[in-house]
Amino acid sequence: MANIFLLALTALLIENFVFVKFYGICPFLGVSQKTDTAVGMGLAVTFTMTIASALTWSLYHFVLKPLHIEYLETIAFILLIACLVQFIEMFLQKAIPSLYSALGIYLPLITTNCAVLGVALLNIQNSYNFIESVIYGFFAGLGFLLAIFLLSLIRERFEFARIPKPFQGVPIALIAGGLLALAFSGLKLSF
Amino acid sequence: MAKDKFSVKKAFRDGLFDQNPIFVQLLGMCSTLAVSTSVFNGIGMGLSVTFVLILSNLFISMLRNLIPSKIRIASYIVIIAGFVTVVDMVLQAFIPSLAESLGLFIPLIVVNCIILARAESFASKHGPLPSMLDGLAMGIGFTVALVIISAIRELLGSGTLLGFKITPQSFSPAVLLISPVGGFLVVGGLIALVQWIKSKSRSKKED
Amino acid sequence: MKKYLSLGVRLSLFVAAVVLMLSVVNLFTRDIIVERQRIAGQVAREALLSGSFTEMTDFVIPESEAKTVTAVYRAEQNGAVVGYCVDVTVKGYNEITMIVGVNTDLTITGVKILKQTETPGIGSKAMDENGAFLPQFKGLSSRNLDSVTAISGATVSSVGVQSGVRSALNVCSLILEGKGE
Repeated sequence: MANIFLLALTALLIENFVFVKFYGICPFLGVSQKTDTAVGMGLAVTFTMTIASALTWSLYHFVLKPLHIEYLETIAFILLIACLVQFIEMFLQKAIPSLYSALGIYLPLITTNCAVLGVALLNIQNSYNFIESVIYGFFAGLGFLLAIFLLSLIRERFEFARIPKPFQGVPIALIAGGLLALAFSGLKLSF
Repeated sequence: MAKDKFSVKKAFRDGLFDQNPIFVQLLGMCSTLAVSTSVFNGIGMGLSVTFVLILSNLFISMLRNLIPSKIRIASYIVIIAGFVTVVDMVLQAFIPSLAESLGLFIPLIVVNCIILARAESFASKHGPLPSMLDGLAMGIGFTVALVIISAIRELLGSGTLLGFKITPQSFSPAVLLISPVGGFLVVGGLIALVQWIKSKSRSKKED
Repeated sequence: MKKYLSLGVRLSLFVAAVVLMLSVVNLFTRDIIVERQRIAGQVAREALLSGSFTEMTDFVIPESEAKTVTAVYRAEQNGAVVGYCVDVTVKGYNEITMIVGVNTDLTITGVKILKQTETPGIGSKAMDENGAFLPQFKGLSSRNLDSVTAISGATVSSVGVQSGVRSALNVCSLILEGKGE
């Protein structure tokens, strides 16, 4: 139990996917101008990462490993993730239209979010078991949600700030991200 | 081929300056921030991406009439993932130290937006030779940008360049720069610099 | 329906072609990768103990340590056992693979890190062979293993390495006890 707790805490805060591991930077910069879109993207990513962790772990341990084709890991995982994202999109559209209208536009972007493929590969590299993988996937996703939510709060304030022209847009977002990362590294140093 | 007017010079000017993947198009930020802690890593990552870009552009361009538009993204990803895995295996076999320090960011080239963006916006509309050259030019632009970022971070963060001690003993390196925080700050600063230079040259042209 | 089928067939064809290419490349690189890892392990072992090494395939690693200890090599010099090298995999924030050298009097000859992916500049400080952490282990035994001080900011990595060393010592003492009977 203590292990699971440490794993969750690590994924969420200590080794935050965005601030420490640099996964998912593109959507972190791309869809963090507004808080509600940022939260929507974060939720969609968390959802996908949790399911993708479970599926890719099973694919690796029940198919790739017994057949000794571990070298196909990357291509098998990305195909699985692409199919999963497509499936989630179709499912949400039919079953929960309200959620689909909120998250739908972010879904196609998730296939190429390296946080999703990254968590799938990390689960295997760190030889987590099934439960650990799912927990890690879920909390790493929440870590992404936290990161993009925090940045969007800051960026909404930028609208009223007089930022030097060359720094407007992505540069100031990167610098804000850097300062957030500094806060997170303080957390890391105390462990 | 009239509308396909393709000039090698323009391709390289786009790749290096006008459409530089990192500084102007702001693509591939994850690997940029993560691997630019040393020049060795930067060059290794840059060349790996260049290799994948050239080959995926070539094959996607050759197959562009066979790939149905409905499943084109999936097809591109399959082709890209294939070449990325080749790079991964070759590095593990022949340059293990690089494979180790780049770690998961080698397989993650698959989802590097630069490659998919070039496939979608260039290779799927042009012939094999221009597509290859476009891949080469964009790859070099990516590599050069990575080298600039990693040189700054390595020099100030560890006091070395390519592993050789450069700074005098009295200089104590700012470890902050090779930590994640430094990645955000250096890249943010450089992009601001590029935007400043661009706005300067634009206002000069208008004069 | 027919349209979807043809799309599926085409995509499968692409996948098949790519898989074929990868299996060919894998054929060439697989042996090199395995051989390189073997040599890397060999070099690390030779730096920890002198003598010739044989993997102890007859020794069954106890279940309590089987998760951490992956292999044990016996070092022999002029026909006498001089020590053991234990391959250990532990969790820092990420997985750390290392080799621990142990003398026959159960003191540590050193710790070599084979593979680690801890954060550069922070956790990686505990992984540096010439740093402040790893050299502390040399000469210690299970009695005074706790005297090692962790690197601040790399506590989790340090504790991971320390627990791996303890597992290696446990396994070696079991081997030596078995010998005494």
